[in-house]
Amino acid sequence: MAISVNYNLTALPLALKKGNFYLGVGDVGKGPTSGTSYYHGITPVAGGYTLYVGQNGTNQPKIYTASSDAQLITLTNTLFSQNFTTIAQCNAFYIDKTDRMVLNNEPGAIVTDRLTLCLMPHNTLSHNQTTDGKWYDLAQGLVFDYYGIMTPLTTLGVAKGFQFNNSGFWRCSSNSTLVDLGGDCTVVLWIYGTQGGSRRTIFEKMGTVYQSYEQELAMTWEVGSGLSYYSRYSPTYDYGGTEATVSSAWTMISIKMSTGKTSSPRTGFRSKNGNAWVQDYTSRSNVALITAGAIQIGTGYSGTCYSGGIGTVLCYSKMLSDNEILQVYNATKTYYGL
Amino acid sequence: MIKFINMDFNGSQWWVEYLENNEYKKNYYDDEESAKTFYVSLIN
Repeated sequence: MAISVNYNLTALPLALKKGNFYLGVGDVGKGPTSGTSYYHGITPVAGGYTLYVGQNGTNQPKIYTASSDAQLITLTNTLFSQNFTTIAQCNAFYIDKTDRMVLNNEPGAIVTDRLTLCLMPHNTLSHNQTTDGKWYDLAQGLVFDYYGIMTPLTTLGVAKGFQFNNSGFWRCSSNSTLVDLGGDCTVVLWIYGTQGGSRRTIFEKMGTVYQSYEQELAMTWEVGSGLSYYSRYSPTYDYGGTEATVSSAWTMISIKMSTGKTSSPRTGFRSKNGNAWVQDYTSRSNVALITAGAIQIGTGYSGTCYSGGIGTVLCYSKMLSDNEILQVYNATKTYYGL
Repeated sequence: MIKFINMDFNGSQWWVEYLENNEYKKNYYDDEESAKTFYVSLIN
């Protein structure tokens, strides 16, 4: 089903966004109705693109389609008086524009209620598909920069992701407090492959006073390919675990936690590939956590990932239900070959 | 039963925390390799 699209200069809730475009991909209430003012989009053809160009004074953007890289280059040159010769130039042209966007894959009908972070490496709304060092969040507009040697965007198994290389990682240093992992929260990671034989941190919010695993959240990929996750500090940190990722395939690993901002015990749960949540967390702290710093993907207190890769990353400021995590899985699994 | 919890460097030594018979324990090492060896023995 094609996404619904609204070109609007004011914020709209319950939608993904790119510039002034709002994509009603998730919660059904944002479908194209007279009440929501959303319009039907067009499903991009396999290997092709849909181009949306905003129109001042109307919520309905102009929509164009291109069935190949060559067609998009020609279309872009015609519409915007450019002289591009490569698809990389086209993608780079669109990635930071607010009044035009090019879509190669639908984001999918993920849950968007209280979505605080939405990173999709394979999607031209989130990354320009070349060697650009920016990874754009479609929930709140956060920007991740790469450090070290760029993790290449490559096809891992059946889907594109950033391949870990023992050097490159991603960090968001501005507005990271908008992704609150100290309160009720959920984190969803599409991970490719297995861990490689030496534990590394795959996702964390950096510590500001203590280590990352002693504040909001750190997730470490262990030997055996299960993930450990940690939070809070005093009298000592809490810990939990997930099931293992799968060799030479994509796995959706999710965790959720109740708030750690009070003296009450924090609770934690794990889910693999959209299965019902299983409680897996040991609370040892009875002191409210301290807000953490920058968000990091592919690195952290236990080193930089070197095996496997990372795909879609989602965060929520609520604990998703069993039905909601299944909805997220069903909306994303096809792309990852499941 | 032994369960691995976490490991890190405290500025002077590497430590590995684990749970053994419902008691939390920490081993300290002067070098990372020794800590890793113990970690792998716990996690496998």
